[in-house]
Amino acid sequence: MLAGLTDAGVQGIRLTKKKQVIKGVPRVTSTHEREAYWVFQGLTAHVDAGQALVLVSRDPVRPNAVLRVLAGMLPLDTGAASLPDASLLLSSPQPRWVRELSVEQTIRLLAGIYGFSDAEVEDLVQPVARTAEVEGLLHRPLDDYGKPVRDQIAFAIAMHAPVPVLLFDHTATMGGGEFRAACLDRLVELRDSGKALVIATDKPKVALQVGTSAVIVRGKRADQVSVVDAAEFLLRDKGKGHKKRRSRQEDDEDEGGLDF
Amino acid sequence: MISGIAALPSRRRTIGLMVRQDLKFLYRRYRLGFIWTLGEPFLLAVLMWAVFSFIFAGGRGIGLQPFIVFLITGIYPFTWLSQTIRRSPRSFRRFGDVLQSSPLPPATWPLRIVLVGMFEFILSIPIILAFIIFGGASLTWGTVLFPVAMLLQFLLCLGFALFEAGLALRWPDIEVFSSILTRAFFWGSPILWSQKNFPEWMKPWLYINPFHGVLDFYRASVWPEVLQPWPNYALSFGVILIILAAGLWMVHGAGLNLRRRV
Repeated sequence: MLAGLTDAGVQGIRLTKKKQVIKGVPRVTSTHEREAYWVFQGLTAHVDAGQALVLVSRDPVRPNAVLRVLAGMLPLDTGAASLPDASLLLSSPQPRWVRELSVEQTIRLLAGIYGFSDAEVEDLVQPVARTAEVEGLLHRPLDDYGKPVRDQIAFAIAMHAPVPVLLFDHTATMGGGEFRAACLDRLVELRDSGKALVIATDKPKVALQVGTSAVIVRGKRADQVSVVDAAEFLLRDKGKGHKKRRSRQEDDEDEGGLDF
Repeated sequence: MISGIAALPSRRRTIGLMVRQDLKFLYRRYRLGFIWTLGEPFLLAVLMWAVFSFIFAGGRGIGLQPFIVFLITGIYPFTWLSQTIRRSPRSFRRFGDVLQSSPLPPATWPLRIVLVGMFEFILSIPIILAFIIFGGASLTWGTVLFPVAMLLQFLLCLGFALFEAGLALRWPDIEVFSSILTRAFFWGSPILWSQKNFPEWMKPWLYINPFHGVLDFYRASVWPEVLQPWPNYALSFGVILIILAAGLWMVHGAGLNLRRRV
């Protein structure tokens, strides 16, 4: 087993509105309070070389937490985890991570953010540029091309990452046009080459084409199901209050000046 | 904690690109762009010089002469400290989405803010030199202490950045408090004034403010006579180490799971 969880659970913290607000009295302190809740509980699943575990849920935060546990970024509150020696968690890169850089610098910075050392990044630049189809654009500003190229670079880094376990946080298909269409075939190739994949997705096609096993992640329990059942769950669930993850706002901070 | 931080040097190129990205992002919306990095403290120094040399002419004795050089050698280092203190409380919130998906140690993000400030300060060194040369002052043997001052200020800024970034997740009000802290450092450090007007018994106590010792080392480049007995600097250095240790504890050792809170 390359990675796995046994009866695992993680608690999160969310802001809830305070119940008691005295009418007519101005609110001088926070109107919200922090409350602990189960992001997931009772989850047992594992993945081995050449397998692809698909995580589905109504709330994308829950499979995201599972992936972060497997990446060693989040500790469990209950249960046990068997973590891989090395892994890559591929999340969708945000514009402000890299917006001001060239395409080559973007490859370097994204690979660094995904956890590779400078020496490892050096080996990744050329193959990633080839796979991402940006070989001729290396010295151009990334801002000229935007999200598709940024996503292609991120996906290509995952393709060439020298790690046994790859974790995809709703990033099974990325990039523009033909690149996006070929993503699932590339994932199947990766899986068949002996990599272990864990994929959080809300797309039935991903589950059916790439997955070898699946888990429906809920707050109070998690069910191991077949990939067909997972795909049916996603089809059934489509449009039923699937929460979109809140995107962080662009830097709105007042960078301020000299204060004295 | 130690292994995470020890791994940072092997990622210096990545961190360098982060700093580059931040610097470009900071100044892209202004027409004069990067020039404001140097222009803002410069204009403040000139303003202070005009106010205290002409309007409050009686205040001429508060600093060392030439007063404009005295101000410039204080305000540029203060800018680095001030920007760090003001930006740090938002560092984990600002980079929260990266923190959630990147295995880089959490200290990377406050460090990034400190390095941006340090880079801006390095760019200002030619301006400081120009003022020293054309402002009627000259460099002395104390210039050898300039890199030491930079190193001490780096540690001080890193300590503050880590502490504020970690604390802001528990107590967001630190964002408001950071403005007060910045003002306290401006008026409580020898930026406008020099310690020469303080009674002898009081001088060692001034070094509880760690930035006081740092500024002395910068200014020794022009006024080596500002240097005090070494125990004063040991006090400043001790406070810097305490702030740094508190910052590391706040981010890595306080049982605070940053990635859960961001």
